[in-house]
Amino acid sequence: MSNRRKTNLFVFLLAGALAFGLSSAALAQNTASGTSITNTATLSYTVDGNAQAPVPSNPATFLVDNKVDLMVTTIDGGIVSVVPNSTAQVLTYTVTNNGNTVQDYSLTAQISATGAFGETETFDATNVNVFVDTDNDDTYTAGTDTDLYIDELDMTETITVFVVADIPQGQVNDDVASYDLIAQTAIGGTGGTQGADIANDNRLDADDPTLVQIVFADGTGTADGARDGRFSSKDGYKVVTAVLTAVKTTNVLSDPFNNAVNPKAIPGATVGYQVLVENFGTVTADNVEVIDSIPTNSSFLVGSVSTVSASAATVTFSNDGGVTWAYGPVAGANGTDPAVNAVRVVFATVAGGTLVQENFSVMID
Amino acid sequence: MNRAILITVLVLFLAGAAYADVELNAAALTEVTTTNAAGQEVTTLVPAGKVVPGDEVIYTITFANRGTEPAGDVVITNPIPEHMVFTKVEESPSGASISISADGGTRYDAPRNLTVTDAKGQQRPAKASDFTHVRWTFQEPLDPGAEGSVSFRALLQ
Repeated sequence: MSNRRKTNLFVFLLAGALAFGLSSAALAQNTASGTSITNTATLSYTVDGNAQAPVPSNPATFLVDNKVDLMVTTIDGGIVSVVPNSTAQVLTYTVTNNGNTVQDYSLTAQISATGAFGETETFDATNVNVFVDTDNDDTYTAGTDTDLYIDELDMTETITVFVVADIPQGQVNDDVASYDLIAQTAIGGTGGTQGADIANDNRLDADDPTLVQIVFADGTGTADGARDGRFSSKDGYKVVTAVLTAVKTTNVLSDPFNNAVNPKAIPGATVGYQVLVENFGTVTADNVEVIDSIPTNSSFLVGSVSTVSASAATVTFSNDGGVTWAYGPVAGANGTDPAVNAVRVVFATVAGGTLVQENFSVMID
Repeated sequence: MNRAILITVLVLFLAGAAYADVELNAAALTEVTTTNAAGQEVTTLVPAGKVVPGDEVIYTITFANRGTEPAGDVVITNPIPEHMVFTKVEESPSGASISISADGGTRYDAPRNLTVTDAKGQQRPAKASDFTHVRWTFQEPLDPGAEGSVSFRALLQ
């Protein structure tokens, strides 16, 4: 060891690194596990100026081990909006094999107390399943995407996975259900068969250059730790539904003596009713139905119904207390039809954040 | 006639007795960092047993002259193994110059002087991933009994 001296070649190498943009991060790193890497050096020399037979070194050999590394990412880009009583609602994730071996992955959707985007968990979806995108179209296709585990995902490959669940009826606006999709690395190599989960790597075993050993190299997901052969990502459902409120106001419009000036509610007076329906939700409510019974001791004034609505409003009348809605009012001498005992208005749509209005009048008997 | 043969044999024997017998050994090592009792991190080199893509391997080549004559013009040549990318020379004997080949060992030079031909037929400077060989050229003879080592680091792709 007398003539051995550690030489710092920093300057030499720095020049090389700058000139050639050496970056280990930029290098593809996917040598397959089981690859044998052999290094042999050769020494040539002379004796008294005569070239001698070059001396080869022994081969220094090791087998590339099985690096287990994976990534699970939700690709919904935000919490998924759902409405109550809907079925087969989909959360979309991708699973990528960043290791150097073909692997299987088992999949679990785990309910999460905290939402993917800062929300608080308020309900559990039902009928929760995890399906692999079998037909590779990145869209959940019921009946086609039926695989329950990822089979034979090659290194650097990515596959789409869906969490599919039903939203119970009775959930209200802003209710949140969050799920962590956990992918667990399993043994690959046999197509069509789910390999056993790899629970532990070989970190407690001595290095063996002749064995393909397993090394967990994965990071920390939303519901798993670093170097555990698993990765996870959080996504969730948020209920967005229409929230309708109705406010009814009454105004005496005129009476037979004061007419329209400070009219009083006496027999023969005309009373106007106004119903305001507002959608405080974020989604459009369809077929919003407002039914008003004509109060006792008053009669419907024929032709007094008016509506204010961005969409079509359909007005119908009943003379049997709301059982049927096919009655055609006929005005009597005072303009009323006492046979009308209910008025119905159906608004085709009420968009979130908007309101509609219905007006009608009666005469006090 | 017989005498002449005997002398020839004797000369050959004597020439064989004064010889340079150079040994060369290669080892693939990896760094393992552990924490000792004092809480300090200690990095040791162990034979490369558990290696996955992205790991760095230190190839150490030890040499020794077990003969009785100096070995002159010593050159150690090490091809970069397949799937490995050269990162840097770790150690080199004093007086040895290092050169690199990026063309399978035909031409050796300082890295900055190396070029390769890309897929479009254009010449461009060689990158570390293009390096195919690393070579140490000794300036001094290796005396009998002398020994030492050279090493370089490479990354498993």
